[in-house]
Amino acid sequence: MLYLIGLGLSEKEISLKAFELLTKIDNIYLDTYTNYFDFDLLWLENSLNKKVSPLSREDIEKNPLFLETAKKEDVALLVSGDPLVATTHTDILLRANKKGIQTKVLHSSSIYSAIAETGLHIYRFGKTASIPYPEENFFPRSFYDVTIENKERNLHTMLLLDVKKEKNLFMNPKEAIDILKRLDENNNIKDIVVISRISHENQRIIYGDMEELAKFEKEFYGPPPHTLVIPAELHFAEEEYLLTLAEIYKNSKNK
Amino acid sequence: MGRKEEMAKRVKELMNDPVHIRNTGIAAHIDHGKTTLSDNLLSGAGLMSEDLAGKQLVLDFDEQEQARGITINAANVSMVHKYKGQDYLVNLIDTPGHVDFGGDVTRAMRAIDGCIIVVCAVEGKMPQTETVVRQALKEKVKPTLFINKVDRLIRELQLSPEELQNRFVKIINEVNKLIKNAAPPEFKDSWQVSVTEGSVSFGSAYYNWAINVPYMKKSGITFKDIIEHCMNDTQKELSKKSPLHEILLDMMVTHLPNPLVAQKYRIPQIWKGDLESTVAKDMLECNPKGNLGMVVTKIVQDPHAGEICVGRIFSGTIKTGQEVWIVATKSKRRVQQVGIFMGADRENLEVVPCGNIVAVTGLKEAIAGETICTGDEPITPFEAIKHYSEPVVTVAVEPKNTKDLAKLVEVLRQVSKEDPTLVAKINEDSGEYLLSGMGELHLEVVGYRITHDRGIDIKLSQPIVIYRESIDGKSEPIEGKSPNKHNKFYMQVEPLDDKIYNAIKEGIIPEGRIKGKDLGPQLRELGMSTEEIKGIADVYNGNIFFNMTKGIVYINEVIELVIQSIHEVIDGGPYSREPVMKLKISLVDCKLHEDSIHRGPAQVIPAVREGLFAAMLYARPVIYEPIQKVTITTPQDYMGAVTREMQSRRGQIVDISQEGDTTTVVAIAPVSQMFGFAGDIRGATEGRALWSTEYAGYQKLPTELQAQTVESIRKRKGLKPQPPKPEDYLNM
Repeated sequence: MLYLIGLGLSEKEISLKAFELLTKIDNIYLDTYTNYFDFDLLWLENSLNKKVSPLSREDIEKNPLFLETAKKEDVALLVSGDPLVATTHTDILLRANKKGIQTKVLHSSSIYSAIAETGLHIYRFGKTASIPYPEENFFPRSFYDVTIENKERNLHTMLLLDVKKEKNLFMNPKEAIDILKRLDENNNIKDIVVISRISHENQRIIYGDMEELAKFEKEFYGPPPHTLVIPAELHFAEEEYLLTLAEIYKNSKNK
Repeated sequence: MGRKEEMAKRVKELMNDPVHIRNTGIAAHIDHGKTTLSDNLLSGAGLMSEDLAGKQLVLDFDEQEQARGITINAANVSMVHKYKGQDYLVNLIDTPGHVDFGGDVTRAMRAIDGCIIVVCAVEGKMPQTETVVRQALKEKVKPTLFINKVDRLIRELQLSPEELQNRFVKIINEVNKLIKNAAPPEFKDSWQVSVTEGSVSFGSAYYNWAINVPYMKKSGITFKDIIEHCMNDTQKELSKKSPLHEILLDMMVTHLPNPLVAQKYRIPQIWKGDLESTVAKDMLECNPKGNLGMVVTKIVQDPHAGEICVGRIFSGTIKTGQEVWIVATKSKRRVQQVGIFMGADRENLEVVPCGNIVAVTGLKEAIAGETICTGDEPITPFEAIKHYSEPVVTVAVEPKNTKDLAKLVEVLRQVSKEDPTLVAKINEDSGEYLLSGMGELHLEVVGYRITHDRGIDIKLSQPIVIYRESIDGKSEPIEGKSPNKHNKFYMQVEPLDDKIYNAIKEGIIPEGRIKGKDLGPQLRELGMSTEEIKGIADVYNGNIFFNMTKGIVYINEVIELVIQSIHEVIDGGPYSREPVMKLKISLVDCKLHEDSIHRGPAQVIPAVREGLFAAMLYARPVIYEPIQKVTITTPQDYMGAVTREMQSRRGQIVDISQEGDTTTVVAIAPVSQMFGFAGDIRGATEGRALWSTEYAGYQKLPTELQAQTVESIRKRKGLKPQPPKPEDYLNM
């Protein structure tokens, strides 16, 4: 049996159901590359009195030895967030199925629902997109096009920021805003919501003009993880919530 | 003021007067007498003592060139010639004749507007005569003809005046036929060489005399006089009456174009930028006030000045201290010194205007073929200088003393910069330094130079042939999946049609990201369909990639990665990890993940590679080997020995011709079998055979040798001896 288990957005957000299950499983693995996560698993290892073995992209995509183990024994693969949200892990389930392994998913919290803490209504989000680090021969702009299409339909856009775990690179809002500004030649993007370290002690929700937010350095936003929202026209309830509960960096002239 | 200094002064004045400048070169088959000819031109111009001319070989200024008696570098010389009371500045580039150094010839042609083709009267047109004429015409360089070693026809072969004339007519007809075939359409007729017009001269470079019809008319010298001088051993007298440099420099000045004329038709041929732009107009008009437009044709190492770039200025003026763009690296460098060559010496000047050949220091990143310019941003680079040959042999280079290792790395970088036909690489697995070149001799020469000029004692390994892999069959569209399995690429491979492959090799289809619609008519003529012409996305090392997908959203975000991955596969295929040739790759369909994060380099590159590997392995992979055309001239008695020698080397004799007692054998033989040929043929013919080789492309290795060759290549590279199966790349 293979269990795909969500770890949620920060320490101890794993479900009690999953935790109890893990007490009975000896083969526990961790996906280290899909999402950002900064919480260590010592507490989990200590309270279970078991080792959690980290797996790289290669170990999961190319040489999935954990699947061989799952043919005979129970295996748990821990994934930060909710295991099937903004990942390609449906493929793991498919491959397990082809090998005759039974599977089960144990969900947890995800940025896809937690984003509602910005006050923006979940019903009003359009397509989500990621901003990748530009690389040699790879400088996509589809996330920008998605943003504009959503905007034209008066929908918010959630923008996920790139994680390059192997290089220890986690995109900062400053870098993301610089990339957006370069593509936004006609100034279609006016304001941005930044949500930093969601579900952490030092969580911040920042709302401001792109121009104003672009003036801040990386340090202003602090350590990862971060997510951006390019809001559509705000519903009055959304606006009131943001203006009351977010840090505001709006130039009064733009108001 | 010595004659040389006086000349330097005149050169400086003439530089600003393009109507009276001729940029020229001498090109020939090996041993037909180019360097002797250059020396005598120099001595005539006062740049060398008369007695040494023909013996000292000043242009062969590498000590090693003199020892080997062949010219390796294309050095340049500026000199002044007076014709009908007017001074002319003649810039002369000497080019090597040995085909192993063919890269130098091609690059030298970029710098010049006209040339003298030297043909030996005894041997006649030879394979490399044909090669150099083609190279000249490809660059729109106008040819004239000098038939050399006429004295030998008279003294050794004792030809009658009539036989002499027949011999000349035969050579001239052959050269004109070559010109007719290879010249650009507008010059097929007007560039024919002609005895009566004086674009053909005859003579003896060694004895320092020459003659042509205009000079005969002027001086009253007849062929009969010439025969008498030769027979009576009074050629020295003849060289006073009819001096070589006078006749040939007259011929260059009257028949070769000046830069103002030549640049008008040469620029569109060698520079493919916007011809309406300001820089284009400056280059077409050779405007010294415009922005700088220059192409580097050679890098020379100088013990004091370091790397010197020699090149041709097409527009603007280059000045000491000026900031210029190195176009390929988009970087700026400051010009340190500007000068010209007068033999082995370099004369420093402050400024050199367009229309001239110049020597520049300070352009650190520049390599041969580089474009140099000024202006707000780099201009379109000059067309890549097309080499007619490619590296086919590799040696491992090792310093005898390990402390020289760091120095060796730097020297290898430098030599491959000076000579772009050399490729230096590190084998990541074995840590060996590998040097690839155009033949055994080419690499020996480079090795010799590293030891003697750079003072690093090195050992060269046995040469290894560079094979190619390709396919014999056609695959189905094969699916390549990304590691996350959320992207799929469907690729189909088949052998590229011969006609299309040859068109790439001849430069009719340029390499790079070409747009099919720009080449529509040519491609259609080669049999490509409208769909394919539209789909052509990239041409790389004799392979073409067609993007045949339609309406795939986000294809633009992955296509560069697809091409990058295809290049990696072409650089080392699945069968033997040798470079791939003659492959037609079609991307027929693909399925992409919605979000760009899940279709980045780490996903797309392996997907394309594994799919392509599998497709190639399905399509009957096959090994090609490099072959050479070998031309051997030998006395009749050794014919048997020569043919035996060739047959024992898997050689195919394609032509045997006889003239008097001399037989010429032309054969095609694999490069791998030609190692050590120099010693063996000397032994077999007691040193009586003259021979030369020429790059002849790649040919399929005989079936019975395929399996063992793949195995030995794989073993040498530390791979599993058995080649992989398609399933090995499809198991996921």
